This record gives sequence, structure tokens and C-alpha cells, in this order.
Amino acid sequence: MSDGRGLLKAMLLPGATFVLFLILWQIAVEYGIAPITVASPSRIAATVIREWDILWFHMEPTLLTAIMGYLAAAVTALCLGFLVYSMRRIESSVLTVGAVLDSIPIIAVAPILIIWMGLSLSTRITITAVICLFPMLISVIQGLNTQPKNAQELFTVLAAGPVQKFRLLALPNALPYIFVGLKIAAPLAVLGALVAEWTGAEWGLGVFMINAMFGLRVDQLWSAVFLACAMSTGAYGLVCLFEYLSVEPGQNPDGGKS
Amino acid sequence: MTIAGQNPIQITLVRLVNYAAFLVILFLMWAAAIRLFSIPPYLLPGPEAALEALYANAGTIWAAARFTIGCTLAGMAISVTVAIALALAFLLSDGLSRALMPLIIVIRTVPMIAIAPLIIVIFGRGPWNSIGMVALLTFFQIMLGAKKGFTSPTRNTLEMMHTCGAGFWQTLIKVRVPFAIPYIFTGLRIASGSALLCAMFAEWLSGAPGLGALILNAYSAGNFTLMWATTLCSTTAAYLFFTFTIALERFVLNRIG
Repeated sequence: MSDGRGLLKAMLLPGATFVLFLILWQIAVEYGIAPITVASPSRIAATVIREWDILWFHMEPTLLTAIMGYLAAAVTALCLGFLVYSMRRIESSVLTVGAVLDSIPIIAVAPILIIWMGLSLSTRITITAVICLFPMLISVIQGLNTQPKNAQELFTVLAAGPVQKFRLLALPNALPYIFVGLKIAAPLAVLGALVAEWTGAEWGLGVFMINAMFGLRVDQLWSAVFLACAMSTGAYGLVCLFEYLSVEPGQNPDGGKS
Repeated sequence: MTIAGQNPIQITLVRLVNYAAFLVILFLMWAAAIRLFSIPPYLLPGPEAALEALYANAGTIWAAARFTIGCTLAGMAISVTVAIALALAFLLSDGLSRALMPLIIVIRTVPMIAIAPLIIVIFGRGPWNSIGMVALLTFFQIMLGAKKGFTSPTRNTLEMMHTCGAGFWQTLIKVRVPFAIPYIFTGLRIASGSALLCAMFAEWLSGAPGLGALILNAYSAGNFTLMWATTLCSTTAAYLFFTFTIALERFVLNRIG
């Protein structure tokens, strides 16, 4: 299915199913089969178009938080990866601490972070970063661990320093693995930004969503959720595009394509 | 697959001992940090205060934990049933699989917690929204695991069954299901870690009387010792859930050999 026609043909059936699903959904809402809290696709689309200005006003800070948190997590994961790479002994401790931090519910962490840092943009970015960090960390460390032995010996023979070794050998080799983590974390960044806004913010898609939920403004709620889903799918697609541009084909590790 | 040949009780015990050791170290470091940096209790209460709160509010926390764990179990049960049924449907019909799988892959890029507010307005504020959230979150992982498992028998095995005159259902029960069990458990294991936390999330937003709502209430009431006690309790519950899933996996895998 490498050529365009094949791809088109493969997308035809799921596309048709999706359209059928939308039509059934519309009918179910119009004839009152679905609960009244379900908005029909046409209403959602109309709401998104009609209230685009206010929705965009709320989306902007959410996007900013998601991007900043994502970048912060990526930088942290790379730094920790470098640390682990140069000091192999701390690998299991770093991973254990990471796993434990990841298993503490974020809704428990969020209030604690707010107590410590106050209600601010940096708190929301931190919450986003905390959510994104673990998958990135795992993939960075796994990637750095799978190095071709010959090249490693060559670098040792040539007396390369740890930074040189990291930059020239380990990092390029780890790239396909790192992208696995980056792909998993991209939707999580959007989620992190939403969750951070649920814990407290003045603007943002998360705030808009919660207000619509408590006010039972069904159309607005559905359109906000739709936009949030579109954002996370878009983020995933964007990272896939970056991967396509920066990783040579055939370099993908097994299971790298999820 | 994972830790072959060990018995489930042994695995559970080892994991519990590890966790207990981890807790002790965490408490020591926690207490030391508070003394060292003289952190005031409104920022971070000491572990002894949190344990005291845990003891004093044991009834409340236990009731909340029971609610959350019950919802999680019910949600997982629903999601396993539906996931395996759908994986079977995919096995039966290639067209269905080609029509739905690309959509499922796209849906999987959406973090399920983001649609929690929708689930809450649809299911109301009772236990059903927690159950729905857990089912939704764990569904895809388990379904993909089951689908992969059902198609994992090698061609030779399937051809042998065909030669012996076995029909679809016989092949399914004798070959595909035993082959699929490790894959289903892999999906289950991945899902179980986040299932409980997800149920808490739903409660946090909906206010249903579980651990999530308890944390939020403790936070808004300024009762930080109770908040920490509940956090401790929920982390432990999530860990236990994960451990028991692994033990169950080991038990079943040992049984089928």
C-alpha cells in the first residue's frame, strides 16, 4: 500500500464507516433515542463555528501550557538520560523513582503542587511536564541502552569524551526509540494542560469545559471536548511528521510504529 | 512470558515486601526532609501526622476505597467482556476489522480522561460514570491485546486443526483462546495500573463518594493530613491492583502450562 491509490482505497472503508457513524449519531439525537446530554454532530460543528472566537480565546493558553510542559519534560528526560548514560549505576534508581512518581495519582499531585507553587502558569506547566515525563524517560533510557557494540568500541578507542559519545553516537542511535516516547507523550501533554486547568485557572479549554459541564451547556461541552480531542490527535500527528522527517526509514526499532 | 515458573503467591509476596521497604525508606526520607529544611506542616505534614490521619479516618477512607475499587473492578469486567467480544468479531469478519481498526487507531491518540466531563453528563454523578471511565480507558488496550492474541497461532497450528477437521469454534477454543491468554493479560496488566487512578479521576470531577472526591474534599477543607493519608492509600491500592493482576496472570499461565 505504498502508492497513493492503495492508501486511498484503504481509507475508503473506514471513512465510510465514520460517515455512517455520524449519520446514526445524528439520527439517534434527533429522534430522542440518545440521552438529552448528547449533542448531535451538526450541533457540535455549528457551535464550534459560531463560538470560534471564544473557543480560540480559551484554546490559546491550553496550547501554550501543553507545548511548554511537553518541551520541559523532553529536556528533563534528555538530561536524566544523559546522567544515566554517563553513570550506569543510577539507572535502576532513576527508573524506580520515575515509576513511583508516575503511579502517584496526578490529582493528588496537582493540589500539592498548587500548595507549593500557587495558582500560576508555571504550576500548570509543571503538572503537564510531570504527566509527560515518564514515557519519555523510559524511551530515552531504552534508546540509549541499545547501542551498536562495534561503534561503542570505536568511540572508546578514539578516546571520545562522554559528551562527544552522547552527542555523536548515543543520541542519533536512540532517536527512533525517543520518538516512541515523544509520540506517546504528545496527547498526554494536551491532557496534562487540561487537567492542570481543571485544578484551577482563569482561562483555558479545561476551564471552559468544566464550566460547560457544571452549567449543563451540552453543545459547548461537546465542542470543547471535540477540540481537545482534535488537539491531541493533531499533536500526535505532528510528532509523527517530525519522526518521518528526521528518522531514516528502516531505522525504526521493532514495535516502534504504534 | 514474564517471570516464568514462579508461583503467584511468591510473586505477590516479593512485590509486597519491596513495596513495604520502599514505603519505609520514603517515610524516613520524608521525615528527614521535614526536619532538615524545617518545612511547616501546612506545606507538607510529616509522615507520622499522615499515618495518624489514616488511623483516625480509617472508616471514611475505607468506605471511599471500597467504592473506588468496586467501580474499577466493574469497569474492568465490562471492558474485558466487550473487548474480547469485539476482538472475536474482528476475527470473524475481515471487512469489519478493515473498517474499524483505522478509526480505533485514531481514537487511541485521544487521552480518555479528556472526555471525562462528557461521561459525567451522560452517566450522571453516581458510580456509573467511574465505571464508564474505567471501561473506556482500559478497553482499547485489552481489545488490541486480545486481537493480537487471537491471530497469534502459527499457520502450521491452524492448518493442523483444519486437517483434523476442526471447525471455527473448535479451533477457537482449543487453539486461539489459549494462545490469546498471555496477550490479553499483557493488555490487562498495562490497563490495571491506570484503571484505579482513572476511576479516581472520574470521582474527582463528578464528586461521587470515592477516593478521588475524598482527596479533593480534604484539599478544599484544608485538611492536608487527610489528603496525604488518602493519597498514600490510593497509591497503595493502585500498586496492589497491579500486583494482583500480575499474580492472577501467573496463576492462569501456570495452569494452562
